[in-house]
Amino acid sequence: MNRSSDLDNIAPDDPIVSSKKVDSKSDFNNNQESSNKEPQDSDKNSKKEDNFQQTVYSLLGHSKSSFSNFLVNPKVLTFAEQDDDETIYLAVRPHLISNLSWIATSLLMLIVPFFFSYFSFLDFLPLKYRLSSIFFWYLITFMFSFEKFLSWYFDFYLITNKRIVDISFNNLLNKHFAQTDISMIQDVSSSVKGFLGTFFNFGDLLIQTAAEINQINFEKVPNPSKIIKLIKELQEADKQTHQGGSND
Amino acid sequence: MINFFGFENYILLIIKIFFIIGSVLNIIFSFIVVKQVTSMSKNINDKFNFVLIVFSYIYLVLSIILVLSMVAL
Repeated sequence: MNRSSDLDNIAPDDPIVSSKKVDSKSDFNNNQESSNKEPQDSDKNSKKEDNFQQTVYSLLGHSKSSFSNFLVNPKVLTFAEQDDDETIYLAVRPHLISNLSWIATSLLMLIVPFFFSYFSFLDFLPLKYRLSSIFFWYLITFMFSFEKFLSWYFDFYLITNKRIVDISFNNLLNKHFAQTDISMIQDVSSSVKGFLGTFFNFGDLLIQTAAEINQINFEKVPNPSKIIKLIKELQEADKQTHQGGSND
Repeated sequence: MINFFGFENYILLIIKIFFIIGSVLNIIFSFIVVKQVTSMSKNINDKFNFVLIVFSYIYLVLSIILVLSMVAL
């Protein structure tokens, strides 16, 4: 027996175990087969999954922290709509540079009280009123920055072994969820615009699909060309699975 | 200086009312933030979510302190 498969039985939290179940499409094709073939099939699938994860690493490299906007094979990230046998290959957030505008605004907001005290605009108020207003102002600044940070932090574009998912929260109050199957993808195009986009290598990615949601837009994502490569690889793998299934 | 029957006192009263209304709106928003951060954390599980939830609760506590300080003015 292969050593990695051996270790999977001992360490159930190993990422390979999560992909041990048979892919739903191949499962559909194979569910008529006898039960003694299933362990072999699952071993084969886990190996395939493992190989694909290595392919993803070689294509995209490794990510270092959960704050990164480009998380390759994230082990600790899951989402509510995720299937049990679904593996996330890539989780992308909008590029860090896209936060520049609200960070600059927050910094400006931080210095506003100093500006007021320098020009003595609030001197007509008693001291406790001045202190309370400064406290209030800094709380508003914190609220503004925190809300913007959360909107960025929870804005995810996910590429899994089954589908492409777009999850975003607008102004903390609206949740947006869109997904399309890998097999439904028809066209992928990217555009890198402007000085910042060219310099920091981020841009928009438009994924056109044959599904009811006919397009998914990845906004300001880093390394759009690498993401396209990954999607292409996934499409190839999906085609092979389908061909393999129909041959069986 | 504050004069109870003077014009300045009315201005301070109006400012105080504005502060109280603002801080009450702020506390409502902080409740929404706590609720939403918890709900977002359920939607996307990440190891950093705990820190965000703690931050949202700190913000809520600060908002309560703000309301109390405004009322005490």
